[in-house]
Amino acid sequence: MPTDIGVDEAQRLLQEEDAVLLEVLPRDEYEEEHIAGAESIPLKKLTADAVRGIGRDRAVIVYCDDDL
Amino acid sequence: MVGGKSEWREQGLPMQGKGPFRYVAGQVLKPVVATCGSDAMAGDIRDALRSSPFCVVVNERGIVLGRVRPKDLPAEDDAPVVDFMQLGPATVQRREELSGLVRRMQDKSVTTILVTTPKGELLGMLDRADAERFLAGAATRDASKD
Repeated sequence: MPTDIGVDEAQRLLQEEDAVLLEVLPRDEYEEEHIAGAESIPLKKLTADAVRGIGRDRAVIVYCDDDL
Repeated sequence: MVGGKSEWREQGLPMQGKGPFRYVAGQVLKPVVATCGSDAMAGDIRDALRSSPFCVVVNERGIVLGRVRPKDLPAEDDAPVVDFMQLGPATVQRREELSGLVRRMQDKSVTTILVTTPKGELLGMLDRADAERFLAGAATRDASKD
C-alpha cells in the first residue's frame, strides 16, 4: 500500500531497513543528477516486470523532482 | 517520497550523476549562532554578539522578525530589541539557485544572508565565502566529468 513519506523517513528506511530508492523521471534526468544510490525506472516503464527483481519484503521509495 | 529530488538536494544530502548539477542555498547552510526572542533587551544581545556577528530575532514559532548587528545596539542595556532591530531582514529559501544568489550578494557587498522556510521560520544562514568555495569546488568536480 503506497504511503507518503518525507526525507527523514526515507533516510531511516534506507539506513535501517535496506529500502530501495527509485527515481521515476526520464532516464536523461536521472543520468544528469539523482539521489545517491537511487536506481532508475522511468514512469512509462514502471511495470511488474521492471520491478520483479526487487524483493517483496523490501520497502520501495519512489520519487520524482518535487513530490509524488 | 514527498519533496522528491529537490528537497533531498535542498537539505544538502548526497547526489550523483554526470551533471551538470543544480546547486542551491540549502547545500551550504550553516547554523545561526545567536538568536533571541522579541522580548530580549539590548544587554542580553550585547553578550550574544560577543560570539556572533549578528543576532536574529525570532518569534515563538521561530519566524524571523528582525536582525541586530553590533552597530544597531543602543547604549542602554534595558532597551527592548523591537526598538532597534533591523526589521524584516533579507532572506532566501533553501531552494534558491546558488550561483545567482552569490552574484547578487557580491554585487551588493553582502557577506551573509538568512535562510528560512516559505513561512519565514529560521533554518540557518548562508555565508557568501563558504558558497563561493563550494561553487569553485563544484566547478572543478563538474569539469572533471567531461
